[in-house]
Amino acid sequence: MRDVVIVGADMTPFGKHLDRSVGALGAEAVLGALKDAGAERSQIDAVYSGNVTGGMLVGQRAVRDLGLGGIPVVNIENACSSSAAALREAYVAVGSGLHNTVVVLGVEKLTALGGGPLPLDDADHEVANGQMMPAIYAMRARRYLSEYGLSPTDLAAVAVKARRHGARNPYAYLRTETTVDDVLASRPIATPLTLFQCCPSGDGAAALVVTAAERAPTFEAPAVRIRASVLHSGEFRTGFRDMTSPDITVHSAQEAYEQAGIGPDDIDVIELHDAFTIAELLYYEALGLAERGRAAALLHSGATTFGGSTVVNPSGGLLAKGHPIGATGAAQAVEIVWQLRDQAEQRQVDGARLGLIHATGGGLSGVDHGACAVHILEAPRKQVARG
Amino acid sequence: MTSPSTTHSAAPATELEPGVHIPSEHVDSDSGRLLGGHCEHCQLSAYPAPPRCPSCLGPLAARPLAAEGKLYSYAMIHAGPRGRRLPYTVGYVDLPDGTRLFAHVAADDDTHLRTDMPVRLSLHPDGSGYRAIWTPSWPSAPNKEVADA
Repeated sequence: MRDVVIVGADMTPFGKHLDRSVGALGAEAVLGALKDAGAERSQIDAVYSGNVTGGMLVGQRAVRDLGLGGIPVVNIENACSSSAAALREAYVAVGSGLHNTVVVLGVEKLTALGGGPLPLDDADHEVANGQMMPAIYAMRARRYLSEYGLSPTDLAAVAVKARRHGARNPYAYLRTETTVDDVLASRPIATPLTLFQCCPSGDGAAALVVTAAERAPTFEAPAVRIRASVLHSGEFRTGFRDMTSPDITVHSAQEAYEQAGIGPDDIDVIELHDAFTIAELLYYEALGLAERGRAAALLHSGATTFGGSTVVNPSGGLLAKGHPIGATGAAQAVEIVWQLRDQAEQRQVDGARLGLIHATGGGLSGVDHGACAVHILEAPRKQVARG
Repeated sequence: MTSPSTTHSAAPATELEPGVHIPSEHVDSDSGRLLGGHCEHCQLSAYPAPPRCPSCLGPLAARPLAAEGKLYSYAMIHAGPRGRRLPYTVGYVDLPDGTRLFAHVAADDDTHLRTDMPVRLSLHPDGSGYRAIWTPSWPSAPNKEVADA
C-alpha cells in the first residue's frame, strides 16, 4: 500500500437546512473540498459517498450537477459511521493504486424525517419491540453508573464541555454553553439520559479530497497523511456482553495504534463518537485514554479540553455540532484535518501533530455496534527553510 | 435497507401497550415457558431463535427458557417511537443458562429498579400471542438516582 494523504477538506455548517436538498448540501461540500485542494474535476477518479436515509444514488445526486459523472460513484451505508467507512474505502482504493485521487463525501438530511428518534430497521426483534438508540446508550449509562459509583452530574459534565467547545465552532448546530443543572433539568429521554445529553439531529455535509502522497505536490493544500484506517463490524452475541466496554471500539483502536506504530498517549486531538454523554466516557476507556472506571476523573482533570494533553471533540462533537448521521464521519475527518493544518481558528489545539477519528454505527441487536471506523491522521511535514 | 417510509406505516388505532410481543408458537404449551433456540454442540441459547446456530451454522432445537433472571440494565423511555404508550421501561435480562433477553420491565418509576436485581417473567395473552413483562421478584425501596462515590 502506498502512502495516502488528504489534500482537501470542507463542510457545510450543521443544523436545519430545510430549504436545501441532500444533493445540494452534498454538492456544496464537494465543491468546497475541491476548491480547498485546488483540484480540477478532471483529476477526480471516483467518489465515495456516505449516507443513510437519503434513498437511492445520493452520491450521484450530489455530483451530477458538478460535471463529475462517468467516474465510479460508490454509495456507502454503515449507519452513523457511513462516511468514515467511505473514507476507509477511499484509503484502500488510493493506497492500492486502483485510483489516484478521489472525493469522499458524507451527507445527511435528517430534518426530512420529521424529528423524533432515528428510525431503525423494524424487522429487528428489539426495534420492533420498542428499542431505540437513546435507550441502548441509557442502559450503558445505567450499568456504568452503578458499577463505578458515578452520578448523573458526571454525565452532564460531558455535555457542558461539548457545548463549551461548540460555542467556538461556526460549523456547530448548538453554539450556546450550558450548565450541569440545565443539562440534568432538560427533558428526560431515556433514563438517566436527558435531552441535552443526546446529540441533536440536523442536516449537513462534509467532503475530502484523498490522493496518493506522491501526488500531493499537485494540490494546493498541505497534505495530511493517513497513518491508520480500520473498519470492523460488531460480533454477534446471544448471551452476556459487558455493555460498558464497547468491544468493537477497543479492537479497532488497538489495530489503528498498531498500524500507525503509536499509542494513545501520542494522540494530541480526537474527534470521537459522542452520540450521548455516556459514549464519550466509555470511549475514553476504549481508546486507551483512561483505565476502566477512570473516564470521569479524566474529564474532570481538564485533560480532554483546550489546554489539556489530549483534546477530545474540539468541534463540540456530535453533542454540540449535531449528528446528521451519514455526514458525521467525514465531518470528524475535516475537523481533524483543519486541526492538523493549524486552521481551526478559535478552537485550535496548539501544536496538534497526531489526530484520531472514531465513528460507530448502531441500530442492530446482539452486537456492540454494527460498525466502527477508526483513522489516525498526521500533520503536514513542516517545510524546512533552505539556508 | 429500510427506507424511512416503511416506519411510517398506517398508525395503529390504539397505542401499543408495554411488553415484548411473543407469538403463541414461541410459548411451550405444557410449561408456559418461553421457547428459545438451543445449540447442543455450542451450548448456545437465544431468543428469538435465529434460523441456525450463529457459531456452527447447525440447527437449533426449541428449549424452554427459565422464567427468572437478573436485570442486567434498564432504561425508562419517556420520548420514544410513535405508536407506543409512554413511558415504558426496557432492559436486558440475563438467564441462568447464559441467554440474554431484550425485555420490558414493569415499573411505575425506575427508582425502584436496580441493576442485577432478580426479575420474573409473566406472559399476558394478547390477541394471537402474548406480551412478555418482567417484574422485580421482590419489592425494593426507592433510592436516590445513584449514590456519590
